[in-house]
Amino acid sequence: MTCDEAKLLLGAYFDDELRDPLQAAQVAEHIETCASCAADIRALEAGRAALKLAPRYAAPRELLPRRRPRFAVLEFVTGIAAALVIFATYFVFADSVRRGDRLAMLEASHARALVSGRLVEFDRVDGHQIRPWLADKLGISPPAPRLLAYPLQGARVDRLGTSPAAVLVYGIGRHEAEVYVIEAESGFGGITRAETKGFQVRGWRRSGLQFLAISDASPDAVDQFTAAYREAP
Amino acid sequence: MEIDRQELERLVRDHIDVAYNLARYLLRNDEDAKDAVQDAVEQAWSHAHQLRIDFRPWFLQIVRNRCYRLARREPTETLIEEPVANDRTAERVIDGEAVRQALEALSGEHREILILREMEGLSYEEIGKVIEAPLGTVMSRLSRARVALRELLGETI
Repeated sequence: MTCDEAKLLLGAYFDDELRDPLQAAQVAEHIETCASCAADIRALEAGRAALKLAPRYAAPRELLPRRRPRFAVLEFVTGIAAALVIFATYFVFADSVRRGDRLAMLEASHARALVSGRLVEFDRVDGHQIRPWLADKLGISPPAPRLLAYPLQGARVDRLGTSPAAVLVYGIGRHEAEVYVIEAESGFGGITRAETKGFQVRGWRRSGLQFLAISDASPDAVDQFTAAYREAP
Repeated sequence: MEIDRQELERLVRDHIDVAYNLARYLLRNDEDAKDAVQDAVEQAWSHAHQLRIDFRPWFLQIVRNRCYRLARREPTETLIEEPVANDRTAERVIDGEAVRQALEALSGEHREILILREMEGLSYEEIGKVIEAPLGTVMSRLSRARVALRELLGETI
């Protein structure tokens, strides 16, 4: 390899960019024997060493990629929304379970009384007598109005879950309707209108008491009865 | 090649210093360098679909183009400063500041090729991609840039 040939390749040799190993070997061999090319290599090395002294600027922190705020906010909001949905689902679900339990309890109590034929324990249908009787038994004294279309058949003391209940029994045609009255805080507040196993259920609150009417009469008939009971003086 | 956000974020993070160093030397001030790199990062995001496996030269090419665009001149004409005749050079001990001054006195194309090769260790092929030039041009330009730097630094090296 001549000196001129070698000089053309010195830079690539220095940068380890000669693809052909044989060529690289020839350049190396030439440098061994050529003072001029050896000096050129030393100059290349000095240049590289000098450049290593120059400051290398580091990127300011603000240039580092960050999750863009809108994505962070979006993720945050999505997270919150998901949590809310989970909570809401849980409560709705749990509530519906509790509601189902309460309805089942009410229905079971009513059905038990119907089957046993002991809807009425106290059959003196004068409301003025029923109320003191219930008050005496339970400490609950619900209104027991005499209704024109719905004969008051009597009253009974029962339970809904762990809560003592006063039960007023009315007739709706050939059907019975019972009005369960319990303390308002007994946990039966979620029911306003429901149907369970063919029984119509209506619920409402008044004066610290929870009322639950249940009957196997038609929905309309039960609505009318409930309205009549609630509107009675 | 489609890459996902996280992957691109990682790549940008890994190469942000190389990008900034190049921009800083090309533009010679912090604010412009920041702007150029910021622009390049945004461009990288919006062109992620064009991204090839070889991220570094692709990204540095964007950075370089942003620098020249910011300087609002053609690459071959831009950023060229007349070498400052400095008769004290020969007497001075070479330190980082002297090298920095010498680098900044070089033309843009000499400066960038020295930075890419000597500071950042890019291969000729990568440099060719960044400066959009064939390998022969890379080799001859690098050779001239080295000579130019040596002349500026004088006898001390």
